[in-house]
Amino acid sequence: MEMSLRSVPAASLSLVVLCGNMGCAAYDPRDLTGIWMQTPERPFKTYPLTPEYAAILKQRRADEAAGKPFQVAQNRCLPGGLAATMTTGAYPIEIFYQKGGREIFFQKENVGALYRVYLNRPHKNGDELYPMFYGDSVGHWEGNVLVVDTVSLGATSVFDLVTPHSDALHIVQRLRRVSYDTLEDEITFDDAKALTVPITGTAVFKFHPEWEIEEYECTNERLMFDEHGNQTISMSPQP
Amino acid sequence: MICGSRERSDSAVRKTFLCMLLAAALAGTAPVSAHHSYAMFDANNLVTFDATVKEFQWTNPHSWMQVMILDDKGVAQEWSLELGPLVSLHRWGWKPHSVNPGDKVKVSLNPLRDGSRGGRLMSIVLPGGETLSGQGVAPAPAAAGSSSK
Repeated sequence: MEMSLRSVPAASLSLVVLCGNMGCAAYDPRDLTGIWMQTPERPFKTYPLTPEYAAILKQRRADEAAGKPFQVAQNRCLPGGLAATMTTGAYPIEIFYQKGGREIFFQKENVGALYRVYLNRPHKNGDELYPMFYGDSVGHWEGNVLVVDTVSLGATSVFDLVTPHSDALHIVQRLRRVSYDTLEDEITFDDAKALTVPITGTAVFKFHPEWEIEEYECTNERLMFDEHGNQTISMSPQP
Repeated sequence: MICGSRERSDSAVRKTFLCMLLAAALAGTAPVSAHHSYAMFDANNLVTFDATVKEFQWTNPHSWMQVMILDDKGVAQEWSLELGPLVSLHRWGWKPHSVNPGDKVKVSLNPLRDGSRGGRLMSIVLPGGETLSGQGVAPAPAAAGSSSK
């Protein structure tokens, strides 16, 4: 639907009205709540890996070709981690505001992916942090851009399903609702161990207010591995 | 072709997204359902069988279909076929009872590389003639060189 900006009333309310051939839709640019689905285009196609991490990726690809793929956390129905959650996967994300907007929750439909962004505090002290899938995320607003800064992501180790990152990964997201139905997430990966330079890409999400998040619990995982790491499946449901 | 098949009451927008996803998947730009590697399946070998449904498991992280397929000696053997997760199947037009025990179907799959009786279900032709995808990609005809029973 082609839309155009018709009016911007009541600046104090930050309300924008977009109109198109299907009528008008009012929205607050700071209201990111609801269900969003990432478009198929991925924000990162390649990663400038350091020699050490490039060697890890090369080995993983060789193992994959040999039928012994690297086992990411998702294979065991553990969370995918923040990097993969926001850049890959065919599952919607629902955003909630809590405590008057001082905390923002992101929940992806698959494998219980849920992380919280705290807008009312700085990062925890280093001696309070530990390896996490979604890290310690703090945020603030810069105009209509929600800036999310995340550290302590050592519980997982992949940008996607195979490309390695280290426990030094630092992620900054700049989320901006650019129209009623489009949310852009400018994502910067900075990892002094795994990347030669920080990289930035933009994930685009579309608004789906008519969708519902469905239940996703791993009740029937049949992935199996033999003693040599070869991957196969169980011929019957696993208990 | 799933883009032209089942409708759900809220499917219009989902179908638009799905077709975008299919196009991207076919172009190799997006993993449609990336729960795990598919290295154990032979992606270059699409085989098609007549089968009888024994059980349909509407589950996550993958749904599964147990089917009976006649072997070279005419003996019915049980195969395990992996589909996408139910949350995705739902958006691809499936329902919990899209297939039922006893249904006579035609299944196209990438078989397990180790020769076990299992595979990744790519598409299925239902008793009524409707075709559904098992992986969110447009069902493809059997490739040249593939076998069919």
